[in-house]
Amino acid sequence: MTHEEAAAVLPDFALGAFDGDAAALERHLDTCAVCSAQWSLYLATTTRLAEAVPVLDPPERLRAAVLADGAVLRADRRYRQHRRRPITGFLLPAAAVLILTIGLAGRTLQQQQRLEAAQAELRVDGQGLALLTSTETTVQRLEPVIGPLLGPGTPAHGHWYHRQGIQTQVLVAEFLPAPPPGEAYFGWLQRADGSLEARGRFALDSQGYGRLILLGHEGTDVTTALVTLQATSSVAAPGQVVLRWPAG
Amino acid sequence: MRAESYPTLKHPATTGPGERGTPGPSRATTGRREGTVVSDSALMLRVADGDRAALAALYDRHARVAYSLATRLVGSATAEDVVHDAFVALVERPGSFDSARGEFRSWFLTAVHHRCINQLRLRNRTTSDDEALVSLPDSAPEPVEAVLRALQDASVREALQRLPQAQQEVLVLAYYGGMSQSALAGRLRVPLGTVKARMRRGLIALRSAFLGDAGPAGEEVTP
Repeated sequence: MTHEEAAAVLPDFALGAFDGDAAALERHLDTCAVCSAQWSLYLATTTRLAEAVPVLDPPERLRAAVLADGAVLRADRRYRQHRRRPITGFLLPAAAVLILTIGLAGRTLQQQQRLEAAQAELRVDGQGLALLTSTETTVQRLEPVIGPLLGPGTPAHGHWYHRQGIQTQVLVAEFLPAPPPGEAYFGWLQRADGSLEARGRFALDSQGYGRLILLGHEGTDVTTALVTLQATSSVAAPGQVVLRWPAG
Repeated sequence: MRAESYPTLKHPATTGPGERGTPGPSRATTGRREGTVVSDSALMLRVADGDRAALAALYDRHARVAYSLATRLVGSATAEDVVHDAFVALVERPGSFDSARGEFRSWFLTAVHHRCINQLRLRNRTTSDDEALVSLPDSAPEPVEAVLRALQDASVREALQRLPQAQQEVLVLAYYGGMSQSALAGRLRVPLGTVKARMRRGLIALRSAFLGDAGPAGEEVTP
C-alpha cells in the first residue's frame, strides 16, 4: 500500500468502516511517521465518540472471567518460560558441567541426580501446562474465608484445575499476603471417602501468586479444596483455612 | 478485498492535542499500593510480566467505557464476549501495545470497536448466506437522530449535530452502526469516493470541534 493510498483510508479505518486490506494498512502505519501521526489524531477523535455513549456497568461476572482467564494465560506463559528456562538457564549449564566432569573426573552421582531432577521438573511442568491449556479442563474457584487474615473485599482467591482422565491437578492461589515467619500456605484436597490430605506447600511470588501441580490423580472424587495457613513444622491437620471450594 | 479482522491494531505515534486523558478515578486506581499513580502504559508493562493486579487495574479503568461502547454496537450479550476477549488479548499479546506510540485508552477502545465491527460483519455475512433471512429489520442500523439523542456527552452530540447532514450520517452510521464504507455507499446510493470524502471531512471537522476551534465543515466533494 502506498503512502497516498494509506492516507486516503485512515479516516475509514479509524471509524471502523474500512473494508480493504487492513493488514497492508497496518504495515504502512508501522513504517510511516506521517500516517502514524495522522492516525493518532483520528484516534483521539474516535475516542471521544466512544466515550460519548451512555455508560453501562458491565456485569460482575465479566471482571471475574477476565481475571480468571488472564491468570490461566499467565500461568501458561509462565510454564512456557519455565520450560524454556532449563534449556538456557539450567540444562545447558548442567550439560556443560556434565561434559567437563566426564572429561575431567567422570560423571558423578550428584550431577546425574541434578539432571534427573531437571527432567522430572520438566515433565511436571508439561503436565501442568497440558491441563491449563485444555479447553475441557474444569475450573473451580476457591473463595476467600473472611477472618483474621483476609478481610472483606480481599482480592485473594484461588482456582483448582482438573479434568477427567488426566492424572494431574493444579491448585493456584492469588493475592495472598506473605505468610508470617515459620508459617506457609498449603493446599489440601478432601476426597469423597472423607480423607483429607495436604498436597503441597505454596511458594508465593511477590504478587502473592503460587501454584501446586499435583500428579497421580484426576480429582474427580474431590469434594473440597482448601488453602490453609499453618506452621511449616506441622501439617498433620489443616491449619487456618484461608481459601476454599466450595465456598462455605 | 474485504478485511475480516484487525489482528494487530496500530496505535498513534503521538498523543493528539485535545485528547482527553483517562477520566475520573481511573488514574488513581493503581493496583496494590494505595496513594501511588501508575499509568496505563506502566500497567501494561506489568501485565506483560504476568501481573494480574495490573490487569485488574486496567479493567477497572476502562471496562465501563469499553462495555458501554460494545453494548451500543453489538448488544449486551456479545459485548461481554468482545470486552472479555479484548482484555484477555492484553495478556496473550501484551506486545501489541507500544506505550511509546500513544495512549493506551485510545488504542484499547479502538481495538474493542474493531472487534465489534468484526462481529457485526460476521452477523451480516451469516444472515446474507441464508436466503430466508435476506432482510432482517433488527439488523438495520438505528436512525441517526436516535443515535444522536442517546449520546450522553452533550459536547460530542452537539459537535456531530453541527456537521452537514451528509457527513453526520456517514460518521454515525459507520462508527455507531458498524457500516462499512461500501455498505454506506450502497445504502446512501452515492459513489464510494463520496463516502470517503464525507468521512474524511466529517472526522476533521469533529476533531476541530473537539479542539474548540470548529470552523466550517467544508463543501462535499464527489470525486
